[in-house]
Amino acid sequence: MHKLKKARIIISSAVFILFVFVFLGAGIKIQAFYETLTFFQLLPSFLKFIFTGFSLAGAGFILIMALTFFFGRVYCSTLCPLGTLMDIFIYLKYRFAKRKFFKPQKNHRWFRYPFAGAVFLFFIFGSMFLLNVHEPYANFGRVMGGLAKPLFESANNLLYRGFSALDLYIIKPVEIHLPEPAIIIHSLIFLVFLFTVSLLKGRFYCNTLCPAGAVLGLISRVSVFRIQIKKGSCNSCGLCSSVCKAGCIDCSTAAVDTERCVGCFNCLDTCRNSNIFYGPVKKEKEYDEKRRGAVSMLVSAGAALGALLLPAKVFAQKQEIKKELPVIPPGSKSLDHFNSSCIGCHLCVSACPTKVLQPTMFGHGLKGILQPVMDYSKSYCLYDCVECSDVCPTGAILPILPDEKKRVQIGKVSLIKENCYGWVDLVSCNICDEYCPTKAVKSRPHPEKRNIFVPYIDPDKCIGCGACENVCPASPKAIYVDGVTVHGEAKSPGGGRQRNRGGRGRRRRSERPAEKSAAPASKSAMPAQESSAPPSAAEEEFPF
Amino acid sequence: MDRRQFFKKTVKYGAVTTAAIVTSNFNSLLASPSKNPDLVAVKGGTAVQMFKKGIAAFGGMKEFVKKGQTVVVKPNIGWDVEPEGAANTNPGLVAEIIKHCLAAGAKKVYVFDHTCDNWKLCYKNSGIRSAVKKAGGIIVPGSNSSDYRKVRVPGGKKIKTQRVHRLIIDSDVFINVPVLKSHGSSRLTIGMKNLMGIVWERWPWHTKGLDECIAEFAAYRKPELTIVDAYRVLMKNGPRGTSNPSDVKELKYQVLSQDIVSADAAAAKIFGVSPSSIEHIKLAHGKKLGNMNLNEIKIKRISI
Repeated sequence: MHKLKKARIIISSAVFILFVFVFLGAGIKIQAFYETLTFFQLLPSFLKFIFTGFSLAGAGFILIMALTFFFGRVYCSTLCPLGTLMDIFIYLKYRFAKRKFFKPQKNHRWFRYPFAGAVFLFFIFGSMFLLNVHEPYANFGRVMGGLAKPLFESANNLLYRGFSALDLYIIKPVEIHLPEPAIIIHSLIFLVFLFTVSLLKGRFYCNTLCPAGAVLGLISRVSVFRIQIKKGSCNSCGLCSSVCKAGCIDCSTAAVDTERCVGCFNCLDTCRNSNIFYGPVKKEKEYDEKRRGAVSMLVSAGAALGALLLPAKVFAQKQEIKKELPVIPPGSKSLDHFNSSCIGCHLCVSACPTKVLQPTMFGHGLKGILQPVMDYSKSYCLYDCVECSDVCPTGAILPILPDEKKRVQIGKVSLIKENCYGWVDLVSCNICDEYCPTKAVKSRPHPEKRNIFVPYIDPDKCIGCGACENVCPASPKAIYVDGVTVHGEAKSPGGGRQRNRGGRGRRRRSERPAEKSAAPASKSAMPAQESSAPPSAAEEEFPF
Repeated sequence: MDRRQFFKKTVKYGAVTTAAIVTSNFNSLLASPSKNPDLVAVKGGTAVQMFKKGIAAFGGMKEFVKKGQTVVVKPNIGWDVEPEGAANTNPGLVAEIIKHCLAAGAKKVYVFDHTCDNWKLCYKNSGIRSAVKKAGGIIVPGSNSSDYRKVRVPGGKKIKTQRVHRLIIDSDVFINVPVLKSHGSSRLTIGMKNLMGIVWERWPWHTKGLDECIAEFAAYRKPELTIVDAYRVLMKNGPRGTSNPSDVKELKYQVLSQDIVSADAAAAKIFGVSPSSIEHIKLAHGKKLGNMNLNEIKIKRISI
């Protein structure tokens, strides 16, 4: 095996395994780990660059483009997890299929670049529709999160049952929430499509549909290092071409189409005469022509797609008209921001410990296809948790501190008394009050029946965590949270300074009132001297 | 060894053994349940100090846990809130109970709760997971439906059957360790309310009538001991609290009793309300599941 190929396999396997790990919800809680991992994803990084105000945190795409300029599209065979998934399918073909070779393919430029241009134009005009459906990293995330994760979790729970019977609790049971059927079907169709295409046509997807592949393809046309065939000494045997999964080697003319070459290096050690090699290119005249072709193609693609401006605007949904708005996680600022920056990779869905973040197909309309929502029928958002904002690769959910999160109003509570067990059936249910972390829902005596406690709401205190809606036993729900277009700030839940927790594990020790330093008995014997203490305890040491 | 030596030794050891048996019998007679208080209330120390004094007043944990028995300790770990938030049972207390059980010869000591928030975060941030592991107990997830088995609730009208965690069904000794706090639904949560955490489908209780269900379910299995943690008490905005220090008060009490209703009544008094004003305590008393009239029972009060 050629050493470049070996390096490619090692790097791609490592990246792939890490991505599988995080998308299965491995529970790594290190923000820097996610940041590093997704830093080198072309389109997420590009989006992050834009949505974090051109910060260095999103500069990964520049490095990738530079890498491509020098070495060709090695990104597609190492850092792209979807590319590696295809390579795994292709490996299976090499291993088990009868026909183990690939045929040279045409370069479908007429489709590829206009299509990529359309994706870009849709994005510029505010619709994530095409991007989210075709972005490779997001597609990988959905296959893992939507298909592999539920299977993985079911296996985990079976293992838990086995081990717990032996009184061992090394395996932690998990609650499984299947994503909505449309998501499963979408991921399944994509996976079947990818599998079939990979077996028949190798990296066809990368060279026709993938927007990242198109961008890098354009750059690799002029890359410094590339696969080349020594002309003259080639006898057109076709060995190199038969292992080329991109189908970019035409052995009849001994030409390699670098635009489509994904840098897998499979061809390097196939040639019996060592006529195929990877190295810097010598300048020749034809490249100017190529470059000119590329420019003209971009211009024409842009012009042809001007017509698509109209539908793009049609797709851009107007939030004011909608009565019910989707709720998006703290840190995502506003629906406008979120809808125009989330590519639907569902990494946040995998990271969410309560699984309140759920993928949806059309939860945000066509414009925000595949973007997740806070699904309060599944779970609710924990008061201290900011994990989704730690992992988001595109800046759709911007980093937020736990203390900030406790005041961010992502939605507002509404109470429908007609549906409520307390208000209608006069039972003191009040489970909404129980779960409410800010007391935006509070139980107080019924205005007439004073011995029955019923919920009252204060939407200004509501942060929109959705716990009340999630636990409400009424059907249809008596209490629910509606989204807001722009995240606001909720009123403080009550008198007194908020405990400054500074997030999990980030708290200073001095803030922790240690039990050891408890006051001696003489002092502590009368807690009731403070104003709001129970009156009976004030009278004696033991109130009974 | 000659015959004489043999006799000497036999007599010597025999005497020692007999003496040991007699003394031990004597001790156990002294510490028989009838001589024990019905309820022990402790005041003024840390949760651990109060427990040591309290359990000693019963004659030690060996009164409840025999050698080779399995024990399940059920604290309140309902919420993803740190110990200072007083939404969960004091982790130090849980650890101390485990140590006493193991010292009394318990084979295994399990700890679990069917939490409200995500169980992993509750176990971790309540400090109970690490406290249990350090003390030598086994912390078990309460979030898996396959761990719950159907049981009959004696005399149940609103809840005739219920799925209960297998550890409660299978363990020899059940120690209930609630934390006293205010509660939006049942006004107070103490010992009987804490039993909701051994049940799988407990949400319907809210709509069937929470107080009746709590009282009815108390008839299912009487905990061998109920230890109410009232060291830090969430005086308002319970059961979760708003992570606001003004919600919490350090009352520094602990109540131990074999009668879960008495324990709840005493804790209610500590909170500052009359036991009969708490519907589920009144109902359980009415069902004769325990005695809420504290003047009718033998109480030992200890101040530290």
